[in-house]
Amino acid sequence: MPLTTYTAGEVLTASSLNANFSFAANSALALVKTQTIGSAVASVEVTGAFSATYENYLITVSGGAGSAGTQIRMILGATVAGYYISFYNAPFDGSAASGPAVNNGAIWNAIGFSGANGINMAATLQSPQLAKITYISAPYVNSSGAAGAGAGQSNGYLNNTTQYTAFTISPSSGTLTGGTIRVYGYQNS
Amino acid sequence: MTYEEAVAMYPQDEVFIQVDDEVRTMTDEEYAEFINQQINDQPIL
Repeated sequence: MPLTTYTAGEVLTASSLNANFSFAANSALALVKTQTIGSAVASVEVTGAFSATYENYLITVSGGAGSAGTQIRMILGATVAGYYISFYNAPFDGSAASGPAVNNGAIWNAIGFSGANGINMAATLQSPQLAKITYISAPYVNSSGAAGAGAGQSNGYLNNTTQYTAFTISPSSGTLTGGTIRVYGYQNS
Repeated sequence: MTYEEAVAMYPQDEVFIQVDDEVRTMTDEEYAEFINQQINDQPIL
């Protein structure tokens, strides 16, 4: 049932209001946490991001700026081993594509980009809080305008069954200032 | 980037670690790791 809106003076019925509550509760994405990024931070840890409520998550970062035009990286909890990423980057200028990878590394890389005019990240994580492998899928868009800059996609996993509640993002080089991290949970139903 | 360039660009008292709303300075060990990251970083275009 779609969300019902009301006009001034209209009598609200319990069934209509309950239908609206149900609509809200079953929205596809539920905001779990919002975190504002500080000034000149080399990393930002977000705790309480994952719980048993949701199996899959969308993490976005927007606004702010990076001190260097560089990739955004992520770890889960305090884990610094077992990360895998297959990364494909196609330059806007048509030059040769590149695909540096992470093979059982210490961090997921290239899951976002931080530049002078903003930070962008939109990573989907599957099952970070389940006792299963965690999978990640994230676009990469280098908006620096540098020769060879391009866009691509990072897909990978973290090869353990640890149940995580927190993650940390960091720029590959320099620091981050400002911007907002938002964590959304995908409804299980 | 050399060690000297990295330290000059990012003095220890001007780079921070954030956990939720708490922002703090780096320990010496964290700062050494941060500087090494600046030196060894290979940017992806």
